Parts: sequence; C-alpha cells; structure tokens
Amino acid sequence: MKGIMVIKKKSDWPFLLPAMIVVAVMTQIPFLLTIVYSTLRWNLSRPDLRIKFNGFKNYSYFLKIEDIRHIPEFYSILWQTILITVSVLVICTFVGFLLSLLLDHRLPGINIARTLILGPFFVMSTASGVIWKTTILNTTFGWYGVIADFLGFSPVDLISYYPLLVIIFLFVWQWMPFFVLVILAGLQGIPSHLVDSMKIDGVNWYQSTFLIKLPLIRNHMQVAVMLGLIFIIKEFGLILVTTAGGPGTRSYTLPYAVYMQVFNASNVGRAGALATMTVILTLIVVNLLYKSIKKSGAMYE
Amino acid sequence: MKHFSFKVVTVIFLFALVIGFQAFANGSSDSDATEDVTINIALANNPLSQALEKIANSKYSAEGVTLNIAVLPENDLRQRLTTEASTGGTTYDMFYIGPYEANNWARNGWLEDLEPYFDALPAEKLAWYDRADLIQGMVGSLSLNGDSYALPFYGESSFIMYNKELFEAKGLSMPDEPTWDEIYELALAINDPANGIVGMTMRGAPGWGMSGAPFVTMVNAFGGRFYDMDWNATVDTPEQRGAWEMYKKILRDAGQQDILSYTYNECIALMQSGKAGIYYDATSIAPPLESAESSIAGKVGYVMPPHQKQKSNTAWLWNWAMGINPKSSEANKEAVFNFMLWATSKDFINMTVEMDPTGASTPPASRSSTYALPAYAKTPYAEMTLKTLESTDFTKPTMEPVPYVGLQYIAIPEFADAGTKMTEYLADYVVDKISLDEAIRKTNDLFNQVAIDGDYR
Repeated sequence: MKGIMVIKKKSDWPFLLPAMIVVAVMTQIPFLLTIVYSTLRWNLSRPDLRIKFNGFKNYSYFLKIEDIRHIPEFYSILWQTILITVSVLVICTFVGFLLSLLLDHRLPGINIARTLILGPFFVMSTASGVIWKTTILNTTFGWYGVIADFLGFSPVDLISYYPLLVIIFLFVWQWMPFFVLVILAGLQGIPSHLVDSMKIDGVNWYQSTFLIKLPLIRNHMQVAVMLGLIFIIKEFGLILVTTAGGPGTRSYTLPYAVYMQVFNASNVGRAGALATMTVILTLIVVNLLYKSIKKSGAMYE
Repeated sequence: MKHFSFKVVTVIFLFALVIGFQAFANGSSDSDATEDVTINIALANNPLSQALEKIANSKYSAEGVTLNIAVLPENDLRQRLTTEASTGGTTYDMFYIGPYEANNWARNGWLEDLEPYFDALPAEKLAWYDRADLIQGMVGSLSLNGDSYALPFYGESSFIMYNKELFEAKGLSMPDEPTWDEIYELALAINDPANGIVGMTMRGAPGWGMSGAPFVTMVNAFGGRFYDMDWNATVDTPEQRGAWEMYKKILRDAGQQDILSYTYNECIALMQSGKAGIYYDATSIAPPLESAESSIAGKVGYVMPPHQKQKSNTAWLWNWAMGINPKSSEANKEAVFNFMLWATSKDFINMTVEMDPTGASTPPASRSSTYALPAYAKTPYAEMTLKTLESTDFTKPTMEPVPYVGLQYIAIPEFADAGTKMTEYLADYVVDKISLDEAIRKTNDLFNQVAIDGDYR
C-alpha cells in the first residue's frame, strides 16, 4: 500500500476524472445495476407480468431455510464452489511447485518440456472440455472406454458418478500450467550465488527445497494463489461443456447457477440476487486470503 | 467463455437494456435496403437440420443474399434464441424453434406475423408454394388466432425403434402396441453387457427438450399429470412415481453406460452400431438409422410408442419451424422469408430425395405430398410415422384434465426452466444421488413455485 499516489494540489483532481469515469462505467455501474435488478420481479420470458419491486424476496428464495431437513440448493452450490476452488488451489500449488522444481534444471530439451507443460493453459476451456468429455472419458467411444475394454473391466461413467472429481481434475489440468509458470519464474529468479553457497554448505534436498527455496519464492506463490483464486472461482466453460452442472445440480458452481438463472430461466431478478451474493462472498474470501498472506509475510520480515 | 463472471453477466444486462431501448426507440436501423444482405441463421444440430445446412450452403442462391448458418446443440440454441427474442437482439434474423416457443413468442410479439408476407406474394409463387399441402396439425401448432408465425421445416412424433436382428437372435418379438412393462422386459432380455449389447437406449442428458421429451410422455402414459385444474402441482402421485421408477429401471438395468451424457446423437450412434436393442425417440430419428452409414439399415422395426395406464396419445408432437425475428431490418426479414419458403417448399423436398434416395435427408411430416413421393413412401418408417402423428392430440395430453396443453412439455414459458430442473432431479435420481422421495418432493415444490411465481393460481 506504499505506492499510492498522493494528490499534491487540489487542482490536480480533474485530471483523474476520465480514469475514474472509465473505471466506474466498466465496473461499478454494471454492479449497481445488478443490485437494482436483484430487487425486481423480472422474468424475461413473461413480458405479460409487470416488472415490479420485490424487496428481498429474490434473496430469500435462495437463502430461506423453511425446514432444516430440506436445505435449499443455494447452500449445496455454495459448498461445491468452495470445495472445487479450494481443492484446485491446493493441488495446483503443491503439484505446481513440484513440477516447477523438476523444470528448474538445465537439461537438454528442457525448453521443449517447459513449453509442452504449458499446453493446457493455451487451450480454450470449452474446447478442452469437449475433448475430455467425448474423446477421452466417454465409456464407449473414448480412450478411457477402449482401454478399460482392453483391460477387461467395465468402465464407470465418471462424469455422471464422480462429477466433482472430474471437474476438479479438469480445473487442475487447465490451471496447473499457470501455477508452474509463476512459480518457475520465482525459482529461476533465485540468485545463483545462493544456490552455489547452498551446495558448498552441503544442505540436503529437503532443506534446500522447503527451507530455502520455498521461503524465497513465497511472493510468487502468493501471486499464483491469489490470481488462481480469482480465475478459478469464476471458471465456467469447462463445467458447461462437460457435466453441464449435473447430475442434478451436483457440479453447479455459483457462476454457473447465475448463468442458468439468466439464460435458462430468463429470471433477471433472481440472477441478479445470485450474482450479488456471489460477488459479496468472493470479496470476503479474497480479503481473508489477502489478510492471511500479509500476516504470514510479516512473520518472515 | 473462460472468464465468464458476474461482471460479464451485468455487462450483458446493460447491453441488453441498451439494445432493447434502442429497438423500442427507432424500430430498426436499416440503411439503404437494396444493398446486399447477410442473413444470420442458427439451426439445431439434429441430423435433418444439419442436412439443411449442407444443402442450403451449396444450393441456395438469391440475389444479394449471403447465408450465414450456425449449427448449435439443441439446448444452447434454445437458450440463445430465448435470450435473443426476450431482449430484442438481432444476432439471428431467423428463429429456428418449435411449437412451444412459437406459441409463447407469438403472444409476446417476439415473432413476425407471416400473413402480410404471404399476402404480398405474387399468385404464381403462392401456387408454387402450395400452403394447403403443409400438414395442418403442424401449421396449427405454429399459429396464433389463425395467423401463421412460423413455417414447419419438419415434424416428428415418437415411436419405438428396435433392432430386428438382435430380437431374432434371442427369439423375441415386439408387440405392435407395447406397454412400458413389456418394453422393460424385452430390454432386459436383450441386454448383454458381456458382449457390449445394450438392451435399450433413451436420451439421458438433462434438458426439457432432451431427456424431458421421452420422460414426460412416459408420465402421460403412466396416467400422471403435473398440475390439477387449479394449478396445484401433482407430482407426488403413484402414477408419477411409476414413471420415474420405470425411466430409471430401464436405463440402469438395461441402458447405456454413461446414461447422463447421452443426447439423441449418442443414442443414434449406439443404435447405428447395432449394439442396442430398443430405442424410444423421435420419428425423425429413423432416417439416419436407415442411411448408408448405419450398420442396421433395413433391419430396424418400428412400432407404436409404449403405453401403460393411458392407452393412446402417448407419443410426443414436435416440429422444427422457422420464424422471422421482428427486430431485424426489413431487407433481412424479406430475405429470411424467401429462404423459409425455399426450405419448406416441395422443391426442397424433391431435391433431398434426389440427393439421398434413402430419405435420410428428407424433412418428414411437414407436407402431405412428401408421403406421395414414390421414393419416400416405401421407406420402412413412413407408414408408422404417419400413424403415430395421427394418434396424437396435443390439447388433451393426460388421462385426467389439466390446465395446460402440450404432450412432452407444458406450454407455459416457465417450463423451459422448470422442465430442465425436473430432468436434473431425474438425472440425480437415476444415478442414485438422491432418493425417489427427494426427487419427487423437489419437483413438486418446483412446480408449485412456478405456479406461484407466474401468477397462475
């Protein structure tokens, strides 16, 4: 927070106005509109019903627990979103770190290996979703089915029976390269004299990796986790083309639920309410993460 | 799609709003209409629509008109066009829809009335088109107050298709008018996982127009209904439970492995490969089964759709039809209308029969004259298609009276959402993620909520 520009003279502020207007139009006005929409009863497919002010009914539609045995779907969708995001982040960070260590060596062909491992990141998520679903995971025509057939066991339809595992796996597959990219940059930024002195001092692999290198690239890890969180929490295309949120709502996430409310139910009011709640929850989580990162940073400094 | 987020949603809202206002403010923003026009069309990815895309791209010519045809999965197409129509967008100049949309949309003013266009046609063109030849049930399902709002491209009902070879090998025979119980027994008898043979295949992918279509006709056959005359949801009845159980039983005990990812395209592929015994789906699916790339061409039997408690009217009725986006510019509307006339004309049908004598690319159930074409009348499914079409009554779908019309759907705008949710619960139930009681309770609550939200009660 040190870098904030200080307005020196009062007459300077009009120069900021264009930037402020751009930011407001791009981000704040749509959000304010969403909040307005969230208080309306507005179903696009029923132009005969008047659009009217609905108070917080759209919110209570999602949140109200009338009977403790029948928890509304919103809560399970929220839980699924958290579960997917957290597992993907943890796996990506851990495995991404290990992969980066592997790639942080001077070996012949290492550049090709580095490029190849970045592959999934450059494939559009919808395209990779379709490829995974139809050419790999399909139990009759896909590789998985053919291999299972060859080995003589009957394949389980993973997309229907383990939708969350499939989604988490695909997210990891898609986002791992991003983590590798950032963490590898960190590892390569470690000064060579440090590595040399490590060797002279005779530290073992564990010590060098977890006690020296890891703290050194902590900043990079934080960036990766922070950006990863923001990207993954709103990831949508992969879910749409693989499980389509199914079976039932077992692999819905909040952004997908918003999408369904708008484009399937044409219910602008409820979609607005859901979108608003998603924003609020995301902001809370990002802030919590940010604070905890700052705290752990203070520990080292 | 990747970075889809709440912000994108809000931006879309904003855009929709702006576009909407613009449309209200000045109608349309066409410049000199004599210029070349590009008409944007989105079709569904079913076999006959794909055939239309191919033929149109190679054969359709009109001066100054460029076709831009996109083919989308059915669920996506519905969502996009609904959003487009309800927000007054002009991405697509032609709406490729069914009677469910046509009815609701005509009422909302989201479709152009076609009568003025027909009135403006010269007499010889009108005679060439021969409106009276269109099958009247189909035309009726696309009309409001006697005015046509869309032209039927092809129509379909539903029936049972079965692999005669597999039946003979097991010494089984298919009744002419089977019940669901009989179908289940036969599917079990045919099912042979060790040899990769699936007893019966049906759509399993959720979506009101996907698994919802066979499932709702099953509910009708079992004597169930979704609402009583006062719009109280009636999902929790023994009849409905029977249908839910039957759907699960068939697919779990004798169905395809990855039940929930099967749209009709996967079902067709499975059936074509000769690895499935029975298949309940649209009559328009039969042509691909008889086409050259099918390994079971000439070996498929066709019988009436299964019944149970309700003895007749257990098929579905659907058509894919073409309507004009009222928000498009006048020049585009005119070009779209001419394209629609071409695509639904006798000439188009004749052309398809010439190109593909098996009839696999010929749109069925749109024109009576199609069934008089010598090449088409001898296809093995032509007779049964007509018979099932004649058996349907779209206004009395259930045994007990209901306040809605529609056979495989409920003709209210909210059904697109509610029906899709219902099939999601159905999917959940089929793969044992929730119990029948829970699925039924959730669906019942859902339909009650729809009745309340939509001011039906």
